[in-house]
Amino acid sequence: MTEAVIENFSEEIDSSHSRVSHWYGIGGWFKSLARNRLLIYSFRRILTIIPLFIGISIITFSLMYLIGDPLGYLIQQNPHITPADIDKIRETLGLAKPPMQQYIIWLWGFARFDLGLTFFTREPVLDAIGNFLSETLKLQITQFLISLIISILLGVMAAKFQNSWIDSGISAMALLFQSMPIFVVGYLLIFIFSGRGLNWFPPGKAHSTPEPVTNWAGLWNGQLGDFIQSFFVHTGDTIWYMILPVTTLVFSSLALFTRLVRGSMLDILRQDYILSARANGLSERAVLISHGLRNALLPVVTYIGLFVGAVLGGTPITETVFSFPGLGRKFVQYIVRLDHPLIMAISMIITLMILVANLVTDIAYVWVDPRIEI
Amino acid sequence: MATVTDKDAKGPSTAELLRVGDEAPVEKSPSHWSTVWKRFQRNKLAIYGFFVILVVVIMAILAPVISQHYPTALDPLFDKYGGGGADEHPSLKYPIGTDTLGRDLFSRIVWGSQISLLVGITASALSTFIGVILGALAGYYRGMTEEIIMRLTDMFLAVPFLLIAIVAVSFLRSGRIEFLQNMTHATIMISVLGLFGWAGLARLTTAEVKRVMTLEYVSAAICLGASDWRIISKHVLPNILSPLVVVTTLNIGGNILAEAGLTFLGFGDPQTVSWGRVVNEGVINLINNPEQVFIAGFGIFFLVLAFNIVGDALNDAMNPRLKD
Repeated sequence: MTEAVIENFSEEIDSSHSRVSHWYGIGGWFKSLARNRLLIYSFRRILTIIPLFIGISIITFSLMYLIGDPLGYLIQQNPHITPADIDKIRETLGLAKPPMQQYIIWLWGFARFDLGLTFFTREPVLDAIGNFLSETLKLQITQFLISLIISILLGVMAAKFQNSWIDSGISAMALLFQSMPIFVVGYLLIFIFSGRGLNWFPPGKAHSTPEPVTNWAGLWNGQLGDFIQSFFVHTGDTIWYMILPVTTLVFSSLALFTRLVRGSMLDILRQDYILSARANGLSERAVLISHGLRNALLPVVTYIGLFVGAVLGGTPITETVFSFPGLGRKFVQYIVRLDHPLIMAISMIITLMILVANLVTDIAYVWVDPRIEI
Repeated sequence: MATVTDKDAKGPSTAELLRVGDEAPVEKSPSHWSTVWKRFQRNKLAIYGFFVILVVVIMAILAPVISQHYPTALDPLFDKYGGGGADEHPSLKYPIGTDTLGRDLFSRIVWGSQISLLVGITASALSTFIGVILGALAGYYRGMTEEIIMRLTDMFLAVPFLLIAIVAVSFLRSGRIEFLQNMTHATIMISVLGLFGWAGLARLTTAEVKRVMTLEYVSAAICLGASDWRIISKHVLPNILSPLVVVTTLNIGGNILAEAGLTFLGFGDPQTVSWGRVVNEGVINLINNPEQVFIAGFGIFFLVLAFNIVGDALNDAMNPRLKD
């Protein structure tokens, strides 16, 4: 009886807001999917990144193509090379086709995760850069987490003690860090911590040479004791080499994040519901953390998504300073050798990371905050 | 519930405030910009930043007078007994030493300030110019124009800036295209940083123009039949000037950093003296001659810091409500 009443009722108010479906089974599932605002939004948003990606890749490809002839150096170094040989090499490398066609071939390959072969070593591009990609990600993710935690602490402190010496100190620190060229920070750290006096950390590279073990995957030799020992040796070695580059990167992103958290916290602390939480007698800690910070983090996360590009942009400089075998440093080396597939692969993988970061933050924003219109 | 009456107020009463025409004010009311300047002057830190910028500007303009030697002259004062040569430590002869090739570092830093200032200021002006035009068009005309411009902005915001700048600088330096062959180091940097740096400003301008367009005086101007150009240039743009000035000032610091980063990576012109280049060349002597890296490096730092301080102070002076 009640079942039928509820059934009727749900049919009465059948509007786009009602999530109750009177379809059952797979059909109802599809229907509820089609009504899910988050899903519709994500789908629309994913469709918009495709033209952005294609646009950026066209800009990069045409600029890169116009830099020069990849075979120029080869021809200059071999005065006895015949035009027939040059044509043959061009044919092998795929440079004989018109540039338009080369771009379309590249794009079609990228869509199938086939990035081609490098010009110089003729190995698959993914094999050539895979190791560097993981090294860069290792560095970036660590610095991102560390600077996020520190900046949340500092930002909340600055907002809580607004206009006091703590606030001015933190703001001044953010201003100093923001103005510091990243390579000067790097060299300062090298000079202090691995230079003349202190010899605490290595000034460069990602692992000690000869490496104790090549990577985590190659650790297992069947013996558990050996495995545990070499695991700790390898991890310790990795961390030891990561400390200085990660500190440099934290310096560069801390300023931005701290300012964001502070501004957002100040905005939230002015709201009425903070006043009512205080009036209800909640502890200061509960007001700051569960009422303030939780709401303040939302705009911060969105903003950070937009700044992933700026964060990843610092990669070539830091990696060059520390001769760290990462994507950014390899990019600087390959651009001199004009290795088209490698240049395109690195810049487009980083572009894709930025686009996906923006996408994820946008979707997360809509998911967390139901007030946002889509 | 108690109500506030005229008697409670300590200042002049409402009747006094409303009395009009008895005595005309003798002084003209201060203009917006003079108020901003007064508030700016009250900020001690801002005056320091302004002073640093002024010193660097004077240094750049008077470079031929201040520096005794041409910055690319090899060991200009070398004589057998008086010392000198390559990698010289600071002395009376060379105030901050010489670099690996025996060039006077002081002259190099004085001449290098020209490039930093020129590139920083001009590139920001260029990106502001592009950003304001596109943003104003998008915010004013809406519809299809806005859609196209906003998608273009999205694209330029998602570009991995340094990587594309490296590719673009290499392209411009290769001289493959006839009419681009005679570009100097400064022109290359200005065009690359200017052309890839406008997206954030275009977004800001669009949002601000859209906000101003809803205000009454713009509606009044539309009703009076003012042309599009007149509305944009006379009514809209002057009223969104403050955030644009602030962002442009902050951009100058960012552009100086970007130029220094690109030349540090070796994508500058080897013939042109610039602070990033000095750092790049001094790195091999980091342990023995740290001054080669750090004097130029901290030069960049103080200049950028000064621009950032001035930008922040302008922000506080223009929007005093935002500060608290």
